[in-house]
Amino acid sequence: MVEPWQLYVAAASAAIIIGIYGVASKRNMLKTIIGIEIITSSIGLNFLALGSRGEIADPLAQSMVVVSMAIGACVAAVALSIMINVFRHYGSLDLRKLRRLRW
Amino acid sequence: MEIPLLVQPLVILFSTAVLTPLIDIVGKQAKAEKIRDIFAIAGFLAAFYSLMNLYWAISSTGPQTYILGTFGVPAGGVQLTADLLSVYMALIFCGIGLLVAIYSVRYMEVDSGLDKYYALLLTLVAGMIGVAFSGDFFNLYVFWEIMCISSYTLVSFRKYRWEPVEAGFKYLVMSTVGSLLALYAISLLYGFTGTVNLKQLSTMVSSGQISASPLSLYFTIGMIITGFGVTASMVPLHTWLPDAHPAAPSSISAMLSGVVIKTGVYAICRSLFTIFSPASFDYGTVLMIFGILTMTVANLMALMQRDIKRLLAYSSIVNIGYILTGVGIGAYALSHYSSSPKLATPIAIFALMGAMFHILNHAIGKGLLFLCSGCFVHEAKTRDIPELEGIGRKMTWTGTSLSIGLLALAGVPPLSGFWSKLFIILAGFSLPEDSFMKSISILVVFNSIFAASYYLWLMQRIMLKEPKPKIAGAVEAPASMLLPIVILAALTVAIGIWPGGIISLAESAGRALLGG
Amino acid sequence: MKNGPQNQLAVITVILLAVVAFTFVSEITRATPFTLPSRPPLDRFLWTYRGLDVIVQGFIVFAAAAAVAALFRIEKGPGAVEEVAIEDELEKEEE
Repeated sequence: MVEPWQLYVAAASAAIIIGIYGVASKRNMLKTIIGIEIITSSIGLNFLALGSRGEIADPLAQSMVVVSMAIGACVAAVALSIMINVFRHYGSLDLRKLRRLRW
Repeated sequence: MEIPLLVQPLVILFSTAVLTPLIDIVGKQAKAEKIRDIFAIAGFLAAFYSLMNLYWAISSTGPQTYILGTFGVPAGGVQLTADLLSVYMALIFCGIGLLVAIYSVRYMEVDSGLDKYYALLLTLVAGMIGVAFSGDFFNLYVFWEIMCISSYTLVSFRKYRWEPVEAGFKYLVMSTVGSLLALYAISLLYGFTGTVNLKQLSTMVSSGQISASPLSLYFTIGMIITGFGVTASMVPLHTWLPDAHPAAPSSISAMLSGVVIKTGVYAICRSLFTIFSPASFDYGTVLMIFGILTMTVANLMALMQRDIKRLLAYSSIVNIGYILTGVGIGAYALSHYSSSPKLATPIAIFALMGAMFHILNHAIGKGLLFLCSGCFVHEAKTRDIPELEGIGRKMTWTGTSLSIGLLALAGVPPLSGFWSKLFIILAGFSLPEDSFMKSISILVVFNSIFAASYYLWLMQRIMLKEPKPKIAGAVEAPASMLLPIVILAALTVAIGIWPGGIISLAESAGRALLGG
Repeated sequence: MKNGPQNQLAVITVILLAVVAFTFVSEITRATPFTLPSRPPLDRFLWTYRGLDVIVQGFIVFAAAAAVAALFRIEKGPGAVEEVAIEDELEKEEE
């Protein structure tokens, strides 16, 4: 009774939660950026699962996934550049060291 | 080749952005480096001129649309739509961008890599105008991302110090997760209806053709408010803002506080009011509660600051609280009194007019304040308020403009901020038997008085105290940095004394939000 | 795992989010499918119907290239000098 596309939607939301967990609780900045990429890919899976309902996926969903993956790559490039600059200032990738700005 | 009027601002800004690094190479060869600054300012002027033409066209003939080629909407094409609200927001974005570009000519001289700075500033404004003009939800997300990528980089532009890179990384992570939550909402709406066009979504949701339960639709509304609310700096999603806005160069702080956070509020308003008709979905309560929470928390935090730009950053969060409360009052009136639209619609238009007017007032006022504080920091080399005391007496033009900006945001008549706050408060009091709306309005009044206290405290410290010996040698800012400041201060006074034109403009913008 | 209380907080949050997601996903998957117009396959669809998205994505790639170039540029001078007012830095100065 449970169709495959419903399992994909459930898996996509589980993967989004895993991505949010990765962004929120990891100490290494690189793992935070990987968490962002996990969320991007899972939302793409959600698009495709809701756009297919069993047959071949709708081209509208496919095009949105293609464009959002390209955007995700650009965001990751900028994030990694900022991360390298942080490393040059602080000497480590530990997110706990970025605590000088608090109040 | 005839470019349609709707697409002209975007084409001008994007092509100027791509050509700026080339002009920079030409300028370096010819030993005249300011050519790229003049080129960027010319791009902003051309875009502003074409936006004025577009405004005249829309106010005479109605909303304009644009589709690429003949690939129409029912089969999945992208549509750009401009009604009066879109062009109102786009004029604010382009105007503040133009003044910030004029200011950056002298302020950013000591930095290198300025061709990329101007290219990113142009793409930032182009992305914001694209968000205002898009009629397709996924296209709005793509323009939103170009605005976000430009703003992450511009915050971290001075990468040789630790503060901008730390603030830039935190801003990037929080804002990207927010944008992705909004994209999840877009995917859910696509899953329910099969389209991402805003108009088609609104017809399908309101006519009941889809069988999604109201629970799923409210989940989507929650995702939209949370996702766009990170960039709009709603409490508790605001923690990136007090780090990012002081760390950015002052011209970019003026852009961020003045217009980028308003894009978040615009995206919430446009998507919620168009797709989910306020008569059948109740999101006004949530917006009002979060608006009051935003105002109160940020007011309390602003009192504890000793960094001038951090205090101004917290006051930006307070003003976003006012705008969200105004929008929430409009949505609440339409949803709770939907059985009597003759009563509810004028109140909703009045509240939305107050919110739109406050967007303009805050953009002008906060832009003015950040540019003035940039002049002070440029001279005194410090952002610490105890060390900046009395600098307004040495730099008289800048200090006077700062005082005008602080009085305007505090809501002192006859300056511009008074009118917009008055409209939001009166809209809340216009239904005397509804005690929830009355209590919200009373809280807005309290927060407004509370905010006025620290604005006047800042004005007293900057203008009326004796300057310390360290800043005794401060001279007035150069003329190209003073020009945008004087223009903004004059606009504040002019709108305060003759608000009629702007009031009718804001009212038609509010009406366009509800009628579209 | 390494840090105790924070990890427990994260696990509790994930469990709460999973409960929320389970509720909503079971609602979402109950929506009946929609009837779609016939659309050309992806390669022609992307460049014709979604042409504006692809053009703006091209400008995103340009902006990302400018961003990475700006973040990795070589500085010649000291740049702008602005002292920051941060509480613990000032305390360290006073000590």
